[in-house]
Amino acid sequence: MKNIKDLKSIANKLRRELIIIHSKAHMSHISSDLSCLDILITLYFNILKKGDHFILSKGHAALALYSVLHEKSIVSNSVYSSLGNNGSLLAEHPLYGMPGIEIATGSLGHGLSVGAGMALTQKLNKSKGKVYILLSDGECQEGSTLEAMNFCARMGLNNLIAIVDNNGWQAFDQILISIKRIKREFISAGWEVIEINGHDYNQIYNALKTNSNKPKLIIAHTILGKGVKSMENNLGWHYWSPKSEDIEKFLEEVIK
Amino acid sequence: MRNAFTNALIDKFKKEKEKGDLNSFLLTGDLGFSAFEKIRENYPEHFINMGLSEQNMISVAGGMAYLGKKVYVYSIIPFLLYRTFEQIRNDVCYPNLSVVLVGVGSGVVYANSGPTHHAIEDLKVADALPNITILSPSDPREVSIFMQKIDKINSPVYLRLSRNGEPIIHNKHGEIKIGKPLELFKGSEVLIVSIGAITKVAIDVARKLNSEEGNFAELLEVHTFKPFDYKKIAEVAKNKKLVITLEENTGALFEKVSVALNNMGINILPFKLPDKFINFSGTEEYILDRYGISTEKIYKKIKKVLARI
Repeated sequence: MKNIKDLKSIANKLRRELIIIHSKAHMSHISSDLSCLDILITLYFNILKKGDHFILSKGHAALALYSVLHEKSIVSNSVYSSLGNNGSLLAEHPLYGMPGIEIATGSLGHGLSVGAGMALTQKLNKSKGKVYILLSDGECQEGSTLEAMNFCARMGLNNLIAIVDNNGWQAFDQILISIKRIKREFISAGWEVIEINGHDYNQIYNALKTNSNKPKLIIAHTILGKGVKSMENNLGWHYWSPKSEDIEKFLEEVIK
Repeated sequence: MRNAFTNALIDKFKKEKEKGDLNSFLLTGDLGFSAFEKIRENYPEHFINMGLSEQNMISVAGGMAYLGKKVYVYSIIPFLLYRTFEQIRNDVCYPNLSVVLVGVGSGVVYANSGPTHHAIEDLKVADALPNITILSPSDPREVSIFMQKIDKINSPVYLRLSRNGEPIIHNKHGEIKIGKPLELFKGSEVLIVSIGAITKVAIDVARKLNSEEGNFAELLEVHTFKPFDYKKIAEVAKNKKLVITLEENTGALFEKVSVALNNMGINILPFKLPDKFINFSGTEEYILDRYGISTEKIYKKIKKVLARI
């Protein structure tokens, strides 16, 4: 269990690392990494236990996950440093069979259903483990996400916790659906819904930790590109990777 | 075929229930009227009606199989396989999980229902997926045998069923092995290669040819479309005058047989459905006949082609 000061220092370290590894690997989606990094850090350092499962349904934030898995020593130094090399196990979306990755993602709208199948099986096996799924807000437009929403409620999967990274942006626009409506839909389908600031470690932890007799959706309000000032709320950083000559400038911008 | 599938599952669930196991599950996309009632009543813990949400159904099956369950997923082929193609690809085939996709309505058995329900391109679609085994049985007995063999396959399977009430055509034939074409007749002049329920027509054609000229036509039933035994087809086709393919698909079988016979200089005569939406109503028999697939039309065409060779 890490205290808030420790989590903040890990986040600061990983934000800096993300700038460097995105630049080195010429990989996209740094802004999506930064918006969910604090959630991933809380999950991996203070929540996930043996028997739990985690699915990064917003697979495009893979590098954020790799950085956390590396920090936890689940991904080795040699694998981590292969990022960007030909033949590396670390792709821009998580590959099946990679250390620490259970389900390969990258196409949106799959994670909640796969997680539901896992949560159902945990219940059938009378296992105490929980299933955590990190969704993007844009992903709530996928019909399959809403199919899964209904299924989880119907099956009473109170061992399933979905977190929406509500950074307000999708690949080519600001979010095209109202998150308020998504909230209402999940509530009326029979979910417990909690809204939090997705960069406040206390709020993230408490929302993940509280017990519920229903499947739980945590709407985490986040900032796209959080923590690197010039990347915040800038759609371009869904695609760009930092140029090597700009690394120093971005590192100076990282919040302490 | 559907009853054979249902009965095999009932046996399986019964055994598990006796042992107190909960390993296998049937998920259905709201289909199974007058088929799955017994399962729902007697083995409710093994059964979920997933409702009208096929994409979710496939991914849930993937999640369950990932944690060790054997999951049978059932629907009409287009809803099972086409609507959910990416779910099957990413959440079942990519992680190579033990999910059995059971599709009902191969070819044009749902004739009157129209192209939305036809499954004449399913072999090509499923064949595109890595890690999958594609089984297309020709009669209920073969379904029962496959269901036992599928127990031991810990990777994705597409089991392609017709509908119900097909005649048993395999009483007298040899052992059925996944991956091995089944020899139904021995013959020296022509080779007929067939797949699925239409094999009953192939048997009639072979009988008709052989009743005139002894061991004239050889018949191989390719119940396993993937992995496909190219070698066996080439072996048997050698020294034949003509190879005939018979399928209720748009040429999936014809294409694989053509690959098997590449550069052998053997004439191939395909009987298949056109690469078109079949946009009229009618019985299955009528539709097939309209595209030249009936015992009589196939027989005549073979005779005509043989006369020219």
